Amino acid sequence: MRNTMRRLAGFIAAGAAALAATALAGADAQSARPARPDQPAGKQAKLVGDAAEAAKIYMITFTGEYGRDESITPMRRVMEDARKLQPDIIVVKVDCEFKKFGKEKRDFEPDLGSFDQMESVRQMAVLVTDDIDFGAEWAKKPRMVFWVKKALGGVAFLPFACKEIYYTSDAKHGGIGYLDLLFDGVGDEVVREKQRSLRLGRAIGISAKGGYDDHIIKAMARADYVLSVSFEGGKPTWHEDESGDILLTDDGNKEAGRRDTVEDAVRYRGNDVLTLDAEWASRLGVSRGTCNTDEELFFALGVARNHEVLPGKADSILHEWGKGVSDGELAIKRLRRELREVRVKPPAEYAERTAARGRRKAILKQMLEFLTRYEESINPDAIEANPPNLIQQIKLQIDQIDQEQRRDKR
Amino acid sequence: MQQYTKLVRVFLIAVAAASIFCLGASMARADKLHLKDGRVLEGTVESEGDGFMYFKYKVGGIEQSTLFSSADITKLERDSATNPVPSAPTPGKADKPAVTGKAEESKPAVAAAKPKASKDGKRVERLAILNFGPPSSWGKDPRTREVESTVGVQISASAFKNAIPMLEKDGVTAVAVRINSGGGYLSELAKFHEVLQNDFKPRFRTVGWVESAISAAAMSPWVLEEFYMLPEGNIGACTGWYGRLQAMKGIELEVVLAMMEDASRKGGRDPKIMRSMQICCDRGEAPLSADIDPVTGDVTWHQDVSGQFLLNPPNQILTFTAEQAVKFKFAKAIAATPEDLAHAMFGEHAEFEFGGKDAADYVDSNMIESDTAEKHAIEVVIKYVRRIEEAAATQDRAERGALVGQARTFLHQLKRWCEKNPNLEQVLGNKIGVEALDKEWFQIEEERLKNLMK
Repeated sequence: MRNTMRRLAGFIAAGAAALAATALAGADAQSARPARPDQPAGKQAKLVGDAAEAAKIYMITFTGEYGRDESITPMRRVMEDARKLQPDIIVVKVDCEFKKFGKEKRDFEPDLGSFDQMESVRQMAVLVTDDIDFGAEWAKKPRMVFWVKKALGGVAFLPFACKEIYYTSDAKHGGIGYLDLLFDGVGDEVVREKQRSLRLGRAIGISAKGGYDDHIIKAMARADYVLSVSFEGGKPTWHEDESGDILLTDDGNKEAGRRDTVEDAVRYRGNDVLTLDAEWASRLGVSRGTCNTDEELFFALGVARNHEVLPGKADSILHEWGKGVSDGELAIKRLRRELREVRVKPPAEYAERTAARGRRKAILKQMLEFLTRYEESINPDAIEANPPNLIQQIKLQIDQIDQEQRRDKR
Repeated sequence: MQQYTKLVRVFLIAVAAASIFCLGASMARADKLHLKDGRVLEGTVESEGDGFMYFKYKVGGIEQSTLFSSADITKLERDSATNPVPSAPTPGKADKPAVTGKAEESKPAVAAAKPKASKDGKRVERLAILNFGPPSSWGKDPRTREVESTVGVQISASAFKNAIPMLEKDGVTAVAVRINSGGGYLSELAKFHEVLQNDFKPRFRTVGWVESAISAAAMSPWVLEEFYMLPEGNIGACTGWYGRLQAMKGIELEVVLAMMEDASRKGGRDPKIMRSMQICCDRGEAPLSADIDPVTGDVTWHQDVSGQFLLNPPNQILTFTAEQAVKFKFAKAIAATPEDLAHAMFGEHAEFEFGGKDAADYVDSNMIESDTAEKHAIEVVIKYVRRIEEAAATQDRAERGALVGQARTFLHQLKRWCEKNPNLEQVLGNKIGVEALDKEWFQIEEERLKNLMK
């Protein structure tokens, strides 16, 4: 506990570089994506018990990188698919890679940028809460259940929007810590605190939808937040100091030697910020149960003897989206190269000039199509451009080509 | 863009910047407040609630605002033009006006909307919900997903003001301003304070309904007395800043702090709350704690840590959660749906209906169009300049005419955006490197297009 954050940061940076090198040595890091455990065509229906009485379960699995493989457009399609099948229960299993824009983080690292995904989480939370609870389109209101295996970074906020969360025994839920270091060294402290305050306020807002205590989110988010807990009748009582029976998070004060050491961090023994595991999620009243298989989950949901897993298309919709994003990024890079290579063929008369312009315009239109379709998920690093800016540039280039064509004389 | 800069340099127009912190016109006439101690004060009612009133008056030429309880007051004579009677009652006091004086002395300049009655004679409220920023539910629609929520760009006081006749025509009696925004320009605060205080509140019972009200989005509706929260609601983080997280300081900071103290008075709430949302750390500490009276439930605020409940430590900026907001009586209730909101506002058994669709659509379309304008202005300007250049280089008159026609279309597009949302004159002007896309700028450009056809 006496070592400084600098040591931890240095260690993390070295490890990240090693990981990056490994990734580059392998296949195309941008397009590599773990296979989903489902059939692309959709889940096979599976019935246990009496079909007429069976609880209908719609399963969704979040894998890959949240924000890229799971974003608002495919998730909207998934929920439309679910609605058609009228399930009694919708289960979202979260087992995402801890990544952002293709860059992997190790599970014990904090991701200060996770709060930047808050807008996407807030929008997605509407799909899995308000739309169902209050929307007329959902005539039958299913139970919404999150099942967390690995929810680190921005995706960690989403399960808190729902009232029912289950965990696997090896679950990790967090990676949103050290908000109090956000923008460290930039500008004035009062403005940095404002930025932290609004982000924490919105994160607490999401968890309030699910009915979770704001102490938990604060302890997950800020290293300088002290939280201890006592239990009365099995229920947690919170103390924003060290007076509780168990200290969950200290103030992480570097000068006082309370900042987590590397040795503690990599072994998940640190107490600067809270990362929920199955045990603590249960003790703190977040988890409804620990389940490692579908059957265990259905048992915990009270439908083990009589349920039907619906043949939903969720996993294939998300898989196709993720693949589309990767293919789109590669295509945009290829098209940019092709655009640079377009030449006016000899003898460079009007016909050849016109043909070259036509080719350039066709390439730009293809790029525009990929960009507009996948804008929300595209990794700017992968296409070496900011998607909205590139869209604007392309539109202007097309206009310029049209102008050149008008000016050109036979 | 370089070519355009050259073009606009020629037509650069110096426009005096509007005062950011304008707090409204001074009052020519006055209300008269008769106190039990015999004094009669001349001034204006700033805000009033159930059993209290903030009254602004001059002492020795210095203006001050003082809180009076109904026990201090014998009579209030209102000046009808400057200070009409609040129109709509708040929950639980439908028949009991606040400290408003006798009805015959209190003639509103603006006729408040009268609720219609149902068949059994019960009052039927008509509630409109106006979006102050795109709700998160817009995210699922690709057409509205990316609409930004900047106060002073997408969210404008002028749109709210323009919506008033539509609300009145529809017989709306109450308006909920549904807030979801991460903030924006301080220059819009005074405009919103004026519109909400002077135009909305006298006409409609106007409440805030908060999904997320951050910074300018919290400060703009602060003059409203009534707030409700969505379950995920949050409001606060009002520190003014610019550039790379540089804080406002000096006199500019003091002006905003004073403006929000004034807004707090108009909203009938303790100014310590807003101060705690605005400053801390290197700009002076503003911790916030509170006591709740176990008998009355009244909340007493402390700008230190001495209260029973610590809401904001000294080194942090306050953002209220929904639960806090209600517990400490900043907000009246948590409401997840419009129906919940209506029940919370009017009572469980009250009759109500939703209205104001045209006004809501108008405010929404203004937001969407302003967003389009902000994102596409540069594209439109570049195309405009290209057409002008091409026209100037074209000898064929018919061809030139066609190009000038296209240029005019782009110019009219810019003009339409600025007319619909006057804030865009400066916002778009800044984007393309001129002071403002104001009337004069458009006149000069129209002239340029005419000259091209000579």
